[in-house]
Amino acid sequence: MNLDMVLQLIIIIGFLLLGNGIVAVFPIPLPGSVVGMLLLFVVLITGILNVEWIEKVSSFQLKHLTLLFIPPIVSLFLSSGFLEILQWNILIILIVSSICCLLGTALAVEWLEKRRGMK
Amino acid sequence: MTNFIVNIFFCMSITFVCYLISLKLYRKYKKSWLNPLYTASILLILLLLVLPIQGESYREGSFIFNQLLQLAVVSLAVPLYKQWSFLKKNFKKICTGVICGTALGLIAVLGMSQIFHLPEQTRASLIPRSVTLPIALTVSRDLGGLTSTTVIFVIISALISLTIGPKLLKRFGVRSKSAMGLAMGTSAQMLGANRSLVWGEEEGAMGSIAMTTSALFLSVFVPILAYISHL
Repeated sequence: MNLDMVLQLIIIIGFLLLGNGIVAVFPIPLPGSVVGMLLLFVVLITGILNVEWIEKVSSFQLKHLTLLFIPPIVSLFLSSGFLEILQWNILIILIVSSICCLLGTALAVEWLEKRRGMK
Repeated sequence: MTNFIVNIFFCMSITFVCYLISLKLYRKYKKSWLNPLYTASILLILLLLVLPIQGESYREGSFIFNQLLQLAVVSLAVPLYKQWSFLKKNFKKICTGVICGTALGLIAVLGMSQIFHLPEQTRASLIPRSVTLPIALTVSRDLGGLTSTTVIFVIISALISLTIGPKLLKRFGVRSKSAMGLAMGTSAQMLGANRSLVWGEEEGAMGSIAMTTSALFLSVFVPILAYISHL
């Protein structure tokens, strides 16, 4: 990791801290990380910050996003309450609602695209 | 104190090692079921069962990954920015898709918890199951759900969507790039957005915007819904 990457990382950390700070002060029902993302986005779109300044670190992070999900999954399976909570009826609800959500989104978008295509 | 630091260092290194091994495996054999997410998790669980470490101390040591995850959420601004003009053009499509998907998922949860006679608290923990984790926690807390339970529901449903999603969409003949990205982002959030980046830039941008919009939609809509149902 060179100096360039460290600087880029510091910028992103700064936006996270800023987001956390804003959420702590104002009654916004969003987590600090999302507020930080929205702020960073605004700064990029208004051209205050050049995208090249943070591109390397952000694409590196998103490429290895999977890594960050491993610890919560592992802790989940190791926790004692896990089997207690996950009964078959809840599992069915989770599966069915996931399918509903996936298909609802995809089919609505396709329907909209087709309708627009016909006009 | 030194114990604590050693613990963090140890947790990080075994997680990294497991991830690198499974990434190597995945790149070598190129099978979709060898996704590092599954193989690394299984590897790590086995390792933790064999090694004389408590699950509790691993959880303590791995908090650092939670911080990194928050940073990754901030980083999502970059793909969003790069695809902005494209997203603006498709504004209506995005809103329709995300609202339909989230609403349908919500109705499914409410209807089925009615059928199974689930207790109020379980239902409250189930409602935010399809939004990104940090937001789900806030919504669940506001509704009177258990946050630790919500974490389980969110991760499990993201894993379900991630596993069946691509095949399900293919089955139903969904071929539109935006439909695929939006569906994965709405249903599996970060994991889905990441998965749709594999399909391509357009799908990836759709995935991350779907994650953000569905989270915004639910965090605004659910408190209103709760308010109405209490009247």
